[in-house]
Amino acid sequence: MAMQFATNATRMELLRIKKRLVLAHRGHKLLKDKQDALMRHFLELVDTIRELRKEVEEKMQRCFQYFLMSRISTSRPYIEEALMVSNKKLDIEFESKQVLNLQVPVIVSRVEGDIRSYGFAHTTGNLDLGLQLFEETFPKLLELAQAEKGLYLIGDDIEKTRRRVNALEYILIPGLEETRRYIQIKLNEVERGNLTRLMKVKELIRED
Amino acid sequence: MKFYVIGDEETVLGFQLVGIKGKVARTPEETRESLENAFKEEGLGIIIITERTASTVRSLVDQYIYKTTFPLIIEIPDREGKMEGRGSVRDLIRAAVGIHL
Repeated sequence: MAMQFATNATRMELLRIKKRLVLAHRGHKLLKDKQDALMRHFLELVDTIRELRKEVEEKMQRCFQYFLMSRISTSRPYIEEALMVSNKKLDIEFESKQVLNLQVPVIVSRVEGDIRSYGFAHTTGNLDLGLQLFEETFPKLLELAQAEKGLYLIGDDIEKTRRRVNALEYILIPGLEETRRYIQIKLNEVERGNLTRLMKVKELIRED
Repeated sequence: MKFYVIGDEETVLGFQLVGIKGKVARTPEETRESLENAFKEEGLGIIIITERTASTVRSLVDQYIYKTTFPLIIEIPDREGKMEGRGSVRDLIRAAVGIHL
């Protein structure tokens, strides 16, 4: 049983509580809707992330294998040289997308230049293959980063919203209901008390 | 905005090939330090960290992931592959939302 609030049992108070109750119900409904909507976004994101992560992890793995092979067959200075002349430019910018009340980052990336700008003489095909795969994977990695951030943000907000919904549903609304009933009963009691007193007084007057 | 890589030598080298700067972190202290430095740096958009490296300073990484908006942190597997026992998305959901899917 929910605790009633400490109040004076007056008609004013009763009106006030009735108003609060209406407001609480409305707020509860709104928050519940928000929670459902967030949940829908959340679950969509979960699906995308699951697929993306699998793909990215598998591809990165292969990239690193290629890199490792090229490390074996090419000496370090050559790799570093190849790396130094790389004119690949990666630039990203963040924009944000509104998901209900949340700002979820969206990554816009700009890729310039050729990743394989080094000479072919000292490096092996493995490096080429690795880099090519890497180039392919990178946008996916960005997408994944973005989706995961969105997931964290939405998850966090779902939790907050859930707390609010629960607080309204299990504490505030029952409490208000209880208080309203209490005041109503109390007022009725006073009413009856008054009535009997009145009858009694009438009786006394008539006897005189 | 820029990227930054923290991880083992292979990974960092790989990312350097595509023009992303990085820091090799071999010990938890190095990782912690480079993470903190990365967060202080201006204009960083995404921090890429390998799972193995991240797992040595798990609490710090989690703190950054959940608390800060920028930069984004993404964990990737290193060349030795996906780490066993890493929390899947499913666990993450359970922790964040408290529901079972």
